[in-house]
Amino acid sequence: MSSTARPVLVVEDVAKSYGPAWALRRVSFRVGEGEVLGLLGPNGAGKTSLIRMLLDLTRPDSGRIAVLGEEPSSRTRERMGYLPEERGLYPKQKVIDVLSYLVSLAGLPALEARRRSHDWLQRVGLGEWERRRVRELSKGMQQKVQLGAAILHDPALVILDEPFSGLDPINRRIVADVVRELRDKGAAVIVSTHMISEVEHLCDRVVLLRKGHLLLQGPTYEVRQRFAEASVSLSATDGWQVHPAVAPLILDCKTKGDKAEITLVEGVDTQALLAALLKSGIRVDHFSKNIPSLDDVFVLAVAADGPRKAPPSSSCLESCPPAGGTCEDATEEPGPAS
Amino acid sequence: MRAWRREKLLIVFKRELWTTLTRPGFIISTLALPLLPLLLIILTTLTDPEQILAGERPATVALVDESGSLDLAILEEHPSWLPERDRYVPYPSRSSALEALLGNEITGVVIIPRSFLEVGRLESYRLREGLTGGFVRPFGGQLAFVLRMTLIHGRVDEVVFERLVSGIEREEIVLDETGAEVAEETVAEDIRRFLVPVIAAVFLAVAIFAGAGYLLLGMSDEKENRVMELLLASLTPEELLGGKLFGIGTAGLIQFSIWVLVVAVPAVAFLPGLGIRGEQVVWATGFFLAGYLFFGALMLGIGAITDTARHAQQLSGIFTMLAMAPFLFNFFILQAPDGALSRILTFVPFTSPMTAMLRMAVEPPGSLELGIALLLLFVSGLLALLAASRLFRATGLLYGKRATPAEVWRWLVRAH
Repeated sequence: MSSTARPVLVVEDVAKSYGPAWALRRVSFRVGEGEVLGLLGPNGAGKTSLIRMLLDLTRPDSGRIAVLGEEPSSRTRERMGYLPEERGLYPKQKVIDVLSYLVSLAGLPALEARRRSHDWLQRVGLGEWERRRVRELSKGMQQKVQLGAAILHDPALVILDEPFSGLDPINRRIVADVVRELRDKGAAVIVSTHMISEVEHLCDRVVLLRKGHLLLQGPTYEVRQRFAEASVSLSATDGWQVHPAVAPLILDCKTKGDKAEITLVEGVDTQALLAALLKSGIRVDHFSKNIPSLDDVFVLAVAADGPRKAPPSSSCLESCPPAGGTCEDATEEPGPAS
Repeated sequence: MRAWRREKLLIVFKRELWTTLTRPGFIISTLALPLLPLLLIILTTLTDPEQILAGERPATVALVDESGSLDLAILEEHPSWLPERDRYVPYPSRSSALEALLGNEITGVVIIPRSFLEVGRLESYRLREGLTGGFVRPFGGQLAFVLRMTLIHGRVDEVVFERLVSGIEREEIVLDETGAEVAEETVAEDIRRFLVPVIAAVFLAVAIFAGAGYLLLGMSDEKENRVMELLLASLTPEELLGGKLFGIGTAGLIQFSIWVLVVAVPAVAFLPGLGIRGEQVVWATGFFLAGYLFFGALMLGIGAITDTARHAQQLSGIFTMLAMAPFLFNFFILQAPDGALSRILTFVPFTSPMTAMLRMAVEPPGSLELGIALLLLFVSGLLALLAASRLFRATGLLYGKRATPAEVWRWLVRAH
């Protein structure tokens, strides 16, 4: 969260278990106004469990959650928009009726809900479909209707769970544009996904969960930087060959044509390499520091984190008793004391 | 139950009400179900019910007297001895009469054979009439009487003859518990006595289970179509369940009121003999509301713990069968409306509404008994709703899992 942004969501030391199985362990992060947070992690990382706690559908065992300064409740839910991963609509009903109903449930008066629903359908290219039955829409079209239901009441905090799944590139772009628009209007947006590469360029900050643990968090670029190896890509006008003057700085070099991928000796700065190259008279056309993608960061972070047994599946999480009882997918670490 | 936000409840209520009122199945059942009893009312008003059931029609019967025993002059003296509807036409021979029968000129043939005096047997012929053949009234019975009178005419005292002609009448006097005379019941009244309670109970059962069925269908649809999580982002489970229960319940009440208006009001107005009273309608409405609350809440609970419409229907069938048990025992209930079985079934919530309706139409139980039964049903309904709400809190977002009885119990006990 940037230092100036007012916090919309505060999650502090939140833990949740289902019997002996941990769903979340001491997770903390914040989201501010006008910020897009990527809540990332593979399936079973604890994202949906966390989201359900933000929506007051379940309660944490310990820790604190504050949405707009209050504990999650039916009142805070009115200021939130939610696009669930498990989403559907009423297939036999008209598109405009379904959307208006969902928007009015979110808190808008019926007429205003209908007006905004109509405008939204026009905007996302479904104007001609508003009087048709939902079952006639494609999956992508339905997803745009569901997205409308999550945002048309101008929520301060929007949670989008796997918003890109099943969308073609055009519709993915539409969703990304909507997210940016919400951010520009000052809303805090949480984009939860296991498709990490999808949101790399969309999120201001990321929170990476793995098996109920907070693996890492921070501004997207900083997180990537943190895992950046001392390596560069470069190309030279006269083709690349390791010059004796720079050879002591290079640990490994892979060449392809006039391009090279260079890994530096530990402790050597990329700027030192660039200076040495220029000094030795090599005409450099392209020189860039290699920053890993978020996918790569996740792999590196997991490797650094070591093995953990998977937390219970979401269906098991829901079916396990709040306290006591058994669950087949228990973590290998000891569960909560009580 | 947790607090409801009125505006949210109202939105769900309106939607469920409108969706139910515009369902083709609801419209058809609302309009079509009263047609059968309405038809019965019209027929009973316009005609003699015994005639409706008997399916009789006038006959033209050929009469062939081979024995010479029949004195046609006596028939002219006493034309009322033969049924007015039927016409007896003398035919000269058996063959000519049968020829006329096969040519569909007449309905039947009665032959008095030569051996009549010795054997005492008439022969009658008619054509087979497909499925309705069984309902054709046998003819010739009255003719046997005429023959007997012919044989004794002039041979016995006139007073004896008249007594034999007039027959012997029997007057049955029915007394109630106080020793007072009760008006003798006719066959028609017997029919009404059986039909009215059964029809009333069927109406109540249909009204309750139509509403409960829509609740179950709605819940299953929302779970199956994965709308639930979207709804629960804006609503508490209590708001969702309450809005559905009230919305669909109101639709059911509208349907029930239409049936009462269309069937009960004309029945009371045109057929006072049916014995339908205003207080019965009031009790019926009470049992409808409490019954709907009870069975509707059960269906919501079933909807909560199942995730497909098929599984939900399988489970709900158990409760539907329990509710229909009074129809299996209706013979005993109608024969002994104050018997032990009738009373027990009146107090058991599952069988209470239908048993109460059956009993009320035959011999209304006391107000205290009905009041206690209604209260039990209502309280059971509230408890069922509480249980449904707890189950829904525990399982509303659970997919792909079949609930075992042990799990259902755990959810009921531990849901927050």
